[in-house]
Amino acid sequence: MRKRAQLSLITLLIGLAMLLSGCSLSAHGEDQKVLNIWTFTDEAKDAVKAFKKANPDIKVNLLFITNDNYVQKLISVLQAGKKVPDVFFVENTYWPQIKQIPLLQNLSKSPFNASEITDQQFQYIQDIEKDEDGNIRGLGYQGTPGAFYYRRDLTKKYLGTDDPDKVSEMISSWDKIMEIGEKVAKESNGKVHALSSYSDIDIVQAANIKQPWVVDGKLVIDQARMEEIDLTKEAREKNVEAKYESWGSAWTASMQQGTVMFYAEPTWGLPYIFESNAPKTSGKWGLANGPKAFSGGGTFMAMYSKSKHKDLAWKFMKFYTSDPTFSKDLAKTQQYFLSNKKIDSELAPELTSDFLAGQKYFDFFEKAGEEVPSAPQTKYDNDINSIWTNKLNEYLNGGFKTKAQMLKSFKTEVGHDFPEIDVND
Amino acid sequence: MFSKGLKKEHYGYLFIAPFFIIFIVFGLYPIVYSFYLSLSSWDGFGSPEIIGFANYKRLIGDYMFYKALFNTLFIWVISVIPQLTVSLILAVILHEKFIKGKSLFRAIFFFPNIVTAASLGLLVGLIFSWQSGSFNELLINLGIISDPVNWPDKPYFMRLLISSILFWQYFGYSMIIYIAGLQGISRDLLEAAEIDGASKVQVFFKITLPLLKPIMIFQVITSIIGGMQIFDQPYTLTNGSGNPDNATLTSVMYLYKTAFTRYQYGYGSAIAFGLFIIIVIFSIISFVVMNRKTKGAQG
Repeated sequence: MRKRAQLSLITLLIGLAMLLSGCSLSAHGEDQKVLNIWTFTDEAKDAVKAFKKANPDIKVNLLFITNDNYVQKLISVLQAGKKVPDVFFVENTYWPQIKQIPLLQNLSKSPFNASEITDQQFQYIQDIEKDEDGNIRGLGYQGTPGAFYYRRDLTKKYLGTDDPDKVSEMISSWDKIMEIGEKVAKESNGKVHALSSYSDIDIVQAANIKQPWVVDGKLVIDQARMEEIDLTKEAREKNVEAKYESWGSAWTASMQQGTVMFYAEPTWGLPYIFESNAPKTSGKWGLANGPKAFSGGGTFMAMYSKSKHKDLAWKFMKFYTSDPTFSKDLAKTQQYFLSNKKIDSELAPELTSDFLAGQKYFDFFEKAGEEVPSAPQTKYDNDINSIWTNKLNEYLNGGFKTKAQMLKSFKTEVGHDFPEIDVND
Repeated sequence: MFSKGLKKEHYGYLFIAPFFIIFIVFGLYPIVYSFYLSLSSWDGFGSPEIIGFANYKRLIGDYMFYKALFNTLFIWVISVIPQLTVSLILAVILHEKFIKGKSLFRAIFFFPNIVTAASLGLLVGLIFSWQSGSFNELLINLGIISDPVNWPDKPYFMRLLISSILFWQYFGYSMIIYIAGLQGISRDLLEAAEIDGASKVQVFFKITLPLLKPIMIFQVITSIIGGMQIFDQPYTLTNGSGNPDNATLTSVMYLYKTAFTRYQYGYGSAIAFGLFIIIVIFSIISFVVMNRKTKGAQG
């Protein structure tokens, strides 16, 4: 009998060990000052380094997960309620969906009073940071107003100037861009295009919507989206856009080759798109204002509401978004345009970029940031946006003969994926 | 004495316990739990709300589910027919005594199977991309076309492309299985036939093929199960979108998108069970059909 008891005990222990091994680690270090942070962007590494230097008594565990599966991992730990990081980074694409999860700390409340920080930020960022009830759920450290990045050699050749103000004036409406596009394509025998793809129109129009995708459970297609269909179709038919796939290899190659005149991209496009993909073209670029102000991307930090280290978490978030020394250093060494417009404007007169032929780009973006409209968001945005671009792409490629067919297919698919949304007119 | 002898039996249970523990924890429990989820509406937060068979009702009327099923079957049929025939022919040839360098050819044909499915999808996607793909580049340089063709926008072309990736990837694997089966056929039978004056073709149809039936049943059933689960290649080829117009959305991709990008776990589980039933039906059909043929051949 004893042997049998031993055996079953061993079996039981093995079973228990297997089941518990996953959870045993989380119990450690509760008394130490340890801050757990999850991120998908390596920008956080510098911030953590600087934060540790300023706070040597705090131990920071930074977990870097690639963007491809970051959100799924984040959502699954939030769902399971185990091993949730104290602070986590969320990209703008997923932010509307994440910020409505009730496990995010309300930062408007005391002791955080995040509005003291957000008050210094651009209005459109403040609106993104808030949930439907107006509570601050996350802090953005990045300012992301957009610009029409242009090749100075091309504008000089085809438009006769490379002066940012004159170029801005020349592209102040979509009609003007269409005209330029037609002219450029004709004069270059179809080698040069005004825009890189329909995404250059999409990013601007999508930022200028007045109504979100879903209002009171009903699908709404904003006027700016309806205009987008016609604009992209016109651009395609008149050979104004180069038909490149955004972020595809042909698209990145075109920056080096100089086959596209304008790219509509946000602030971070400078280091992450243009300088990294076309390093040899330094000095050939400029920034201009397009038909409408817009923004793109951005990263937000949120705090887990059941975190045991909210004080540390807040210290880090505050440091990253408002510490003047750190922020200025970030801006200067990494060309990082900040969400904090006060610091941005302090730096505006002095910061220039060689890549942009000496243009005062902080000054440019600071002014552009004031103009960026607040586009309303819903938790469905990421899913519905991707259905929209898929259908639009189909329409441009001739998959749908008419606009009505495209819209019908779009509505059907939204209604299919989200039965709770009313898609009927 | 007696009781000790009886006790010893329990050691056996101990040795088989790891399999059952792992199976229960990682196999049975998730299956039962996902059935429970399929009866609920749940986004992962809070607790699942039981809604009975509403998810299954939605599934029966779901056009996207049928479209995904059609895509999957189309891709599978187009890939599996050449896969099983070409691999059979290659296996028979490589099983011949007089062929030199057999093992080299076996290794070469098996090689594509080692390449990760995801990287194949990406690679083919790059080759056939619209503005920068090397395939279009080649056609333009050969003077066949003047403007790049938008391959990724052609539904049937994309489905065929996935079929070809699958064929290329798996024919070597099927070939190895066939070779194993061929090696199981007694040489005596083949030699007897040869002495009786049978031609190679006669030997193939009258002896090899009937004796390979069990192997073929195995191949067909495993390829049905594998084929219904096509995921990596279309997912990476289309960046997870299933474009154009959901033409390359396979059943498992649809399941994945429902459960893990839209977080509709309940409906995702219902799709999984829908697929399970369909796989069972197809397996039974193929099993019955293949068995009937065997009887016919014998009689």
